[in-house]
Amino acid sequence: MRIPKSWVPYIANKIIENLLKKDMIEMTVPKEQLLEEAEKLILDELMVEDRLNEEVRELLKKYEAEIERDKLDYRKLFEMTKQKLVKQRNLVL
Amino acid sequence: MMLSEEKITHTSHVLFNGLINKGLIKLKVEEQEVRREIKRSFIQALKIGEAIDEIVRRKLQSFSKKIIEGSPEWNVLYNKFFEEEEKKRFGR
Repeated sequence: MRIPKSWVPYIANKIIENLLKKDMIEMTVPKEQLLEEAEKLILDELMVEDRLNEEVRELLKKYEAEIERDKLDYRKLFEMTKQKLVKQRNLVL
Repeated sequence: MMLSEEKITHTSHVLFNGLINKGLIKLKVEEQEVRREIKRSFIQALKIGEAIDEIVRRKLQSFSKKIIEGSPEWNVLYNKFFEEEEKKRFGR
């Protein structure tokens, strides 16, 4: 994640508070629940890259022997695999 | 900014769609206005986060005993000071 996880609660808080203050939305659930759900949505999206990195690491583990044997550049392979998945899945990192 | 403009816009869309699809909010104004406000607030919060980050890092650097960034001790203190600053600003 490119920002500390500890920022997420107040990002969510700030967004919801501003929307309420400006009378743009009406809550249909208690505020605590709304904040909790907003935090989850933001955190989940901000962790897309972390999950993708883990997936690429797992994928490349299967080719450890070949990477070692052919002295392939792990970093390069990692980036290429990652970019391929980003394109395939239309992810925004 | 620590997140790209594209990522901020995308995350704002995801948040808006999530809140609506889960039936957590009802709109009182045009959808576009709400989308814009989410993005604006997001950027504002990131800026505050960056400001707090700077204060906390300065505090850690001022210690006579140097603490290596990323070490368990650094992380514990960073989070502690970050929370303190957060509380000062948001009372949470």
